Amino acid sequence: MAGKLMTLLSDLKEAEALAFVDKALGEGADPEGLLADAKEGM
Amino acid sequence: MNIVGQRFAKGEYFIPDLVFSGEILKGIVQKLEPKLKAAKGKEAKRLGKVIIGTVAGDIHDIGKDLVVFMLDVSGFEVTDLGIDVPAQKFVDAIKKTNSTVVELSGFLTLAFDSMKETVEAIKKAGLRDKVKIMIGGGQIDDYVKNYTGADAFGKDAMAGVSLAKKWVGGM
Repeated sequence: MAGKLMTLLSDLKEAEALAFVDKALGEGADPEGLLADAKEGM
Repeated sequence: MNIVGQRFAKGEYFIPDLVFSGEILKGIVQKLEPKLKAAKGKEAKRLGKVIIGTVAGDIHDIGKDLVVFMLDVSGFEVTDLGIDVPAQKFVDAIKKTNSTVVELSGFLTLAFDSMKETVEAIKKAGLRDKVKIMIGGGQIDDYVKNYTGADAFGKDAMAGVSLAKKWVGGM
């Protein structure tokens, strides 16, 4: 899962990135980890 | 600099791509924010405080607005003073917000004098050692940086964000 959000954001896949966040949060992922991952994509 | 920034620097991405990536990050942050706040019991920590404005005599704001947006989504608390901003307004904002980074924007060559006056006003107010000052806009280079007395110049929005992060110890 690590790095997935970074890839989706950097490839400008908006819908997939937002859906991934919803799914990850639903599965109990660490929000800070997700945020860090997203920022890496920027 | 991270992936989108690197692609922009290489010429693979353009300004609309930067803006769009920022929009995506904004959407992600909106989804994460309630969880982050719940986890921390307070507002998510910001990287640092930045004051930005287009200096007196210049009304160009496209580049400035892009930097504001990129700083915001990157986690900075941004005070945007707008356009045609007198030097004293920057001084007042530094005192009010305790910001440690100041970004002076200007597209016209006449903005260089306003940038210099703003840096001097900050110095006269005794605040120069409390802030790092960056300039950005049209034809900015080392010569202009030295002329104005700024600490650095950002050649584009991503460079501005990277510098700000470096100055606040965020990367």
